[in-house]
Amino acid sequence: MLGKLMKYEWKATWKLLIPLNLFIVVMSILAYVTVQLDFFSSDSDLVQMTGMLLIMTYVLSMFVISVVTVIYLIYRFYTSVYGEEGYLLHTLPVDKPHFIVSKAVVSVLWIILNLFLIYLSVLFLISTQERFVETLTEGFEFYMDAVNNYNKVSAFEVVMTLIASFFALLARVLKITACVSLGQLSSNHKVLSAIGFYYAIYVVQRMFTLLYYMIQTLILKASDYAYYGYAGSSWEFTLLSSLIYSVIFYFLTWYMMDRKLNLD
Amino acid sequence: MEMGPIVQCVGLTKSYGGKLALNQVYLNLERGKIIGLLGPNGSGKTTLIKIMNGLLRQSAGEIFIGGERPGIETKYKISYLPERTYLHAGMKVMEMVQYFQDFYPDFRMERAFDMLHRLQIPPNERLKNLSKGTKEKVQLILVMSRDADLYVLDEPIAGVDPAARDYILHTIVNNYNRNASVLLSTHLISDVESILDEVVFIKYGNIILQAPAQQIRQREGKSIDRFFREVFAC
Repeated sequence: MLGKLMKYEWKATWKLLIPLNLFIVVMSILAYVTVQLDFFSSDSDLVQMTGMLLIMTYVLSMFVISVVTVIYLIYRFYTSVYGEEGYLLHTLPVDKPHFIVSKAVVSVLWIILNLFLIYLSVLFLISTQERFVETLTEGFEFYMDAVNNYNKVSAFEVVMTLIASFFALLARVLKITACVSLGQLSSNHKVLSAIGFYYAIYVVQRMFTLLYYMIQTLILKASDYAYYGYAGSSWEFTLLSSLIYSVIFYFLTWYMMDRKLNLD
Repeated sequence: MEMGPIVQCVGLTKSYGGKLALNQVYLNLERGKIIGLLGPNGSGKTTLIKIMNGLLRQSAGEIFIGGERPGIETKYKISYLPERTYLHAGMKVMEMVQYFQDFYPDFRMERAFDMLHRLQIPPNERLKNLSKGTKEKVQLILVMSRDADLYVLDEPIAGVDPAARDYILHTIVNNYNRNASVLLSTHLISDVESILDEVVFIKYGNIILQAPAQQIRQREGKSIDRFFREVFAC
């Protein structure tokens, strides 16, 4: 049944998300052409302006597409689980955990695809035109430094960092499903209530992270701590905290779906 | 062939923040009957139906569907038509038929296509392009194309024109499994009266009457519609 649920979840989401992701490809090609033809060195102000507009549209569209993807996935979860479609979903002879897993996995895969395409798109541009790199922000240069530093890191750590990132993403998706589900406790302001729960959980998570740093500081000598730097960036911490949060948010979602379901 | 009541409620109670929606309901629904669940707005009909379908949990008491508490097994037994349109608007009628085929082993695809053909509903049409009434017909067709033990139909004729009502009632009578029961909740009593075997009146969360339709007509000397209007007069 899990496979069937995932198939229908994919079919329900691809109609919007495939064109959206194809748009990344189209914008990347346009940005590539702009850089290759060197619009910025043209004598014509119009050509320069066009190049500038194209690059700005490219950057903006990458941002908008990633935001729209996440918002659409939240909307899809809300309408299919707690909206009118919920009457069909919850009367299917399927275990509740299958609903949660199918929706979470499909959402995570869409977000990964989206991020991967944006990553490829940027890589595509910077690898073809060095000048383009110079125009990028300091933040991006910082990122490039981090990539270069990977050479000093073992393959094991790179793989574990990727795995930790996957679970961090899963925990974030499940946090949203838990908050949307908790929002159902409110009879009149479900969306507002879900946002409130999200903020409250965020604050609690920050407090736990702070507690972790404090313990780290107490355990490690000040010099060691300075050497290790930002403790939260280690893959061990990310993996462990993401696994714990994933389990908590999964059970919260399940509990709300199973025990507190009350469709309008 | 399974024996015993298809639905059994034992002291079933549901309250919302102290307000009782169902109050100690004791109810047995037998197999092989078309039963009308009749009551005014806010009487507890939908609450009872939601609990049957596992869409809501009771505050106290028990409910058994074919001897089992609501769960996956009972979802195989019940074919439920809510009063809402639950179809995914972006899908085609044919895709919804396939969806039911994928999830319900008792779904009869050929029966669904036959009914779609009779009601002249194009299988390739997207649901968002259909009128509200046609969407309701599609839902009813999907629900009645299962060989379930219990069909729970919440307002199945409310949104369709009078001409289609006759066909829908005809569809209900002719398509349900003879060992199964149909629980029909509606305000349009006069339209469904002719097909009802049994009637359940519900008021303020209490079952105030459960009797065979024919017995009520003979005892009261009037139609069930007339009797309902008197019982629930404001």
